[in-house]
Amino acid sequence: MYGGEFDGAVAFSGGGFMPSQATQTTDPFPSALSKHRDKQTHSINREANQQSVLVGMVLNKAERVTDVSFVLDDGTGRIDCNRWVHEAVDTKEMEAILEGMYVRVHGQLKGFQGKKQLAVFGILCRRRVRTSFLLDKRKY
Amino acid sequence: MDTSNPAVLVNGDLLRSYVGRRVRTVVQVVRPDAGGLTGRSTDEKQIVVKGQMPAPLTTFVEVIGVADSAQSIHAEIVTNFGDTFDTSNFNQLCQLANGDFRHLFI
Repeated sequence: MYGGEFDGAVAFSGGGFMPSQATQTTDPFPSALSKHRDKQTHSINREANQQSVLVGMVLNKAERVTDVSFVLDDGTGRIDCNRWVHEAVDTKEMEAILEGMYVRVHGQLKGFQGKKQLAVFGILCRRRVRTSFLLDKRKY
Repeated sequence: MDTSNPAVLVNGDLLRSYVGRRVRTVVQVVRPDAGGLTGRSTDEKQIVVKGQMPAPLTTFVEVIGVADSAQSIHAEIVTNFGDTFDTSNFNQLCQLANGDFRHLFI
């Protein structure tokens, strides 16, 4: 699970989460997001955001009984992330995520009290870091 | 979304433009020194990194810190990036992040 390359088939196996055709690498820069901050689901480029993929460094990790929150810094800014932990496998996955570690997170952009947040579905630590995720920002 | 403390992506040549600013770069470790290391940037310039280093060091490290001078960085965070890294890719990224697509990064 924590091998060098992200394997989508392995990450999404086990049920409960299917990759969407609308998955895209997100540029969290404010100019790319909808201005309708009261809406729960944020849009990117006026399209309803199904899933987002971000790669960055984990900061300010806080573990609670039902969820784990952290800040993800991808080099262009920081965004709050929240991962609900329902089962032991979720807890174990998040225990392996440490401060300062580079991770790839899959989630959905949400608004909470006027603040953008990423509801995390899955998270993998990156043993090999590539800069291609930053070059993808050219699309936006 | 907090963008209050961005670290500018730089290579050896761009570092001189951001002295005193928070920067981030990837260097190849040439040799560890007392209190840091000497590295080679992705555009083949020498960069001295001062600060606490992870142990052991891999061949490539990412350095986030404040540029002391045109050739040195006082590191806040040093992260091992492994023994293989595409330096030309990163060098191009630095040029794009400080050029046409600057607005996406800073």
